[in-house]
Amino acid sequence: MTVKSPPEKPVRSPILDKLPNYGIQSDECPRRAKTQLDFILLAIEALELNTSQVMLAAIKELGLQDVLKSRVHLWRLRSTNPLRKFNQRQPLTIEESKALVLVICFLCRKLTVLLRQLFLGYQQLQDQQLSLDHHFRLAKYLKRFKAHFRARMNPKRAMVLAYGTDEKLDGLALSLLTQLLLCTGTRGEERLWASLFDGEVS
Amino acid sequence: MTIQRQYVLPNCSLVLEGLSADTSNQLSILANAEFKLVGIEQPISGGMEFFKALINAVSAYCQRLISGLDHPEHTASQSSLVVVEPDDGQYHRLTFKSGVLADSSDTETSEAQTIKISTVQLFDMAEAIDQFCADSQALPDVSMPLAPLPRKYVKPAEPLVQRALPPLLGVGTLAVAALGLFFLPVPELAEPGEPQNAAALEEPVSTDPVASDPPDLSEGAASDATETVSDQSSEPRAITDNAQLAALQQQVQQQIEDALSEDTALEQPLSYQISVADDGDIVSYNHLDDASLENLDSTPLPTLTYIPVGASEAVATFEVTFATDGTVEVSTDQSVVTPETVIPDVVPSEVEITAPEEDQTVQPEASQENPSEDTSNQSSTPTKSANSTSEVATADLVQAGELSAFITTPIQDVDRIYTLNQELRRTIINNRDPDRSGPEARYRIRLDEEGNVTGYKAANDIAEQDAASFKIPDLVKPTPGDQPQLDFLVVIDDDNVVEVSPWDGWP
Repeated sequence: MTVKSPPEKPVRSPILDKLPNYGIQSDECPRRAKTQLDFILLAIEALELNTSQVMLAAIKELGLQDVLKSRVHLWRLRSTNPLRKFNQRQPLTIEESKALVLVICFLCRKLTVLLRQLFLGYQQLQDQQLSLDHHFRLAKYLKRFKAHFRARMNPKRAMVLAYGTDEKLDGLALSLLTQLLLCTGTRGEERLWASLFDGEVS
Repeated sequence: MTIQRQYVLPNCSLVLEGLSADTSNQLSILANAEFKLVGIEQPISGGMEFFKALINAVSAYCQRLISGLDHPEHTASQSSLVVVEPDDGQYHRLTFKSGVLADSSDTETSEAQTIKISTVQLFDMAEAIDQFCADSQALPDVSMPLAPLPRKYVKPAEPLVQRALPPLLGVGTLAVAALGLFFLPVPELAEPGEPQNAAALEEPVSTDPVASDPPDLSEGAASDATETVSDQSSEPRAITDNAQLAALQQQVQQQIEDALSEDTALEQPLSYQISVADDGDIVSYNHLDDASLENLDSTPLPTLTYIPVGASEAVATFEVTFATDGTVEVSTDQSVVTPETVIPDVVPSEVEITAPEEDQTVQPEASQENPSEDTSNQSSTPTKSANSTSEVATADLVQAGELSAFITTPIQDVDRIYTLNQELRRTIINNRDPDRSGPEARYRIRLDEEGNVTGYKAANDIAEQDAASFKIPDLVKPTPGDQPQLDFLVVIDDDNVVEVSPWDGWP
């Protein structure tokens, strides 16, 4: 087979430039950012079935295949979360985390309606002094999130131990839900991206 | 011309009213900003100052919601006009300073106003603000940069006191330990290798552990005892005088027989090697087989053993055999001392009768040597008779080629030994039967400095029988015993090859 064109140079997706670097010197994401990204993905998984398939489709749609190459690669990036049971001691690069942020916000926007419904339901429950079990969809989300969290996080870690009770995990799940809602906004990517480096820049 | 811009969201709408600075349709001067929240009747409205404070506070609070870290913009302080704080569950509290809101100046002049909004309302507010920021047609000089929180604003996870506690505790412990050790005296340095100490240490080693501590023999005595005997045989001078040996043998025999109680019944014969000092005291003993070790306490040896005061007493080594019927035999120990003739009248006759059978049954290693000794003793008679025809004088002097146990003055010169070795070999080769074939024959032949054979001894049975055929008895010449002499080993092997070497090896 004759090849007439020079090999394709990997084209850096321009969408990544949307997020500034904030003068971060190292190429590796801080520890908290790794945890945060994985937790948010965990929450999305709890909201939606078949998330990995949806994520791969989102990556394709955003043109980020060069950064997030495959399902396995995605899994390895998520496993950089130090709290995971099968923690990969690999760095999560700035580029990869940017791509993850973009994918997360893309998925969140698709879930906007569901998120608003959940919050309205949450509000009603709180107004009527009812427990969270009374909203079917919210209870399902919480249950799935707890199951995912306990299945994948290393219970020996102090931070994971802090989420030992159902109430604590519910609190984490709800705060993650708030984050997801904020990610759906116009500047969701920027907000999430900036929050990852809170307390990490000088 | 008044320009109005509206950002409408499900739970919140933002209306900006103002003027354009130039002819373009851009809103550049803000007159009034108004937030209308669903469920809250009173709109939140104010001027430029209020609007800036509000969007900064809401935006910073949203960042706080995402990262969980407090941003300085939304924390309550005197200067901030708008403060957003979390409330119960999913509610949040918007607090406005007095005079900020456009319509509150009339009614409540001094009191801050608080509005409770839900998360969705807050999000819609933030979204309206974000949309305004993204809108290039409204207030281009008002921007709201999003940046990560600098490190200095972040409180460490652990307070300073907790972080400082472990190192302080460590240093404190070290200080307390140092203080405690300070009062302990410095240990005196003992100089090693002082002569008195060394002597005191070595003394128990040099004395006989077996003799000094007989009851401990049951354990580990085997190795101790072996060492002891080897020490005894190497260090003290051995008694070589035949007369003295005979006397000692008799004395020891008597001593043991006296000490042995009448009713002693032994299951099997016991054999020991004993060392006897020149005054007849038993200084050490060593068992020759396991049964002897086990039944040591039924013999009088432990009680008879005398601990020598000086280390360098002259000793003689004997072999003691206790027969099952309670009789005792003392014989010279062939395993240590070189073979020598036993004067017959030394050993009581009734004991001697029991000796051969005991030797064969009890001591395998001794029984290998005894037969050759016995045969040499027996065969000395025919040799003597054969010899007597040719040279009677020789027979008288050296007992027909019998060797005395020790050479008083051995030949030291290496060249001389070599020459003697060669001469002897030639002599043997010349004398042997050239067609001889048969088992290997070994001889021990003693030469003086001139190369004369002063004595010989057959080292195996074949040699005994073939001695005449090699004409060795004919070679023996009478020589005074005080001349320098040396023993040689002559081997005539089954191929009739003659090998000669010094008995004790080449010096």
